[in-house]
Amino acid sequence: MIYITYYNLYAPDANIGIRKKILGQIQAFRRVFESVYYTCYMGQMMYLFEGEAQIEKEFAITKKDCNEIMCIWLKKYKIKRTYIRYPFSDKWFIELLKCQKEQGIKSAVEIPTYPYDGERLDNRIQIEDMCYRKEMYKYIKLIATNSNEREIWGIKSVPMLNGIDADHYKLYERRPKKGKLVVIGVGSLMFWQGYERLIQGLYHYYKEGGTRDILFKVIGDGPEREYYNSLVDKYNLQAHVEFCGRLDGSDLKRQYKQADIAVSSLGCYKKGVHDITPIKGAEYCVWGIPFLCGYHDMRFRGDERFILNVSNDSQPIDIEQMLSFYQQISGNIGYWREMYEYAIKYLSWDVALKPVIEYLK
Amino acid sequence: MKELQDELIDAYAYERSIAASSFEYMGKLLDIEYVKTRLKLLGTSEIFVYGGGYLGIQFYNAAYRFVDILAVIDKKGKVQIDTFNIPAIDINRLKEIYKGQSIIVASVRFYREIRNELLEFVPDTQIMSLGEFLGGILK
Repeated sequence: MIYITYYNLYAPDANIGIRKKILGQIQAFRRVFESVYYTCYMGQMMYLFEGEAQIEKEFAITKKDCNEIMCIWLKKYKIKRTYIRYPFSDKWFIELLKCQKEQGIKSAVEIPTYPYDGERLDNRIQIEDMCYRKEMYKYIKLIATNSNEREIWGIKSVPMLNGIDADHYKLYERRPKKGKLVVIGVGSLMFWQGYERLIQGLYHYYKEGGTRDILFKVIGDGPEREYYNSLVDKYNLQAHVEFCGRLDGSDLKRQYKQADIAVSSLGCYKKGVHDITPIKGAEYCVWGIPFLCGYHDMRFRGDERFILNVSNDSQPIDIEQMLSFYQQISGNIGYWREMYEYAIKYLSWDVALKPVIEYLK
Repeated sequence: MKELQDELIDAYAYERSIAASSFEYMGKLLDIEYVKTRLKLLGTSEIFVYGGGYLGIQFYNAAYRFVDILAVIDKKGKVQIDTFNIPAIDINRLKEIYKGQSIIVASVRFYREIRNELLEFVPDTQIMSLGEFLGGILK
């Protein structure tokens, strides 16, 4: 099979979460299917990988080029099934689907976030997508997405929850500690992170005489960085908010180990979504870090003691509530073990991709 | 009519892609530190640049202090703006002096044609588009 993506997977500025997700999914497919290839698009080049090895590369300046190359590779490697990370529909994407159908290839398409019409897409891309996605049903029989919809554009849809590559994580034992409370937020700094809610919450907390020393570490970079920075300056919170930039590997691990609480997306209301499954929620869980959640995470029942569900709106976070949540959970010895075991059992890619794998088999 | 419309869409998309890529490269070439990092990853001390247009000149100006650019190759044997003392040669001269160095092709529109022409005497592995150099996988 081929995992088809046009994402710039190995670029220095690639989103670390997306890269982890794609590579984690590929690993899960490898455990089931004999040979799994994958593509990526960087520097106007289409690349094809098998395992760690890059086996093909072709110059591709247009989407038409990309799809023509894909069709050649599908034939050359006698591909029977594909998994496509949805690149938005256009004339050439539909042609690729047509080419797959002609070759009798079984295919599933993943839409990472649905609905996405509320996202700030380029106007041309949005119109093109709305125009061409209506044709997808002729060629695709299964969509996997974050949403609970049973059908999208006339195609059967299954919920595809974001997961983790379980092989990569070991149980991390947390020790209760006093002093500074470290809160981390990991992810690209896009508008839907809504971290301004936590920054505003910190402002209100200290303004009203709060005494607990809290440090919010923002891990990631992106368009909202300047906005968050300006709020920190405005509220004079320099001692309580630290921008760590993009971190990965051992640097990120260190931050996970030092964290007491984590914060997942708080601004999903801006995109008009509520039911999502961001990777960071699964990562916080496997690391045993209790976390704040401003949406409905479909991988959890909703009453887990290690999640503090907050409203999906623009209200500042109630820091007193966050502190009492932490006090309560950290009083339960071994809460981190419970979280780790939950993640391994329910949040791995093997579990998340089960409906897709069943279909593609 | 449908076929004609399809052809038109393809043609517009092609022109747009070329313009967008060229614009992106021009921007990246303004970041001298980035160019330096990429040249380090490329791991070679001598290169040729193919293309004496704006992109080729911009690339030459960004890279010459970090790598020995033996010459800029252009069909006409000269560069588009002749004010930077850039050594320019044509492909016949390149054939005489070429000794296995990397060639970076600084032309988006004619990359395929140039590559085919170079393949007569340059190994495939030594030909690279400017896009690949700036954003692709360099080993």
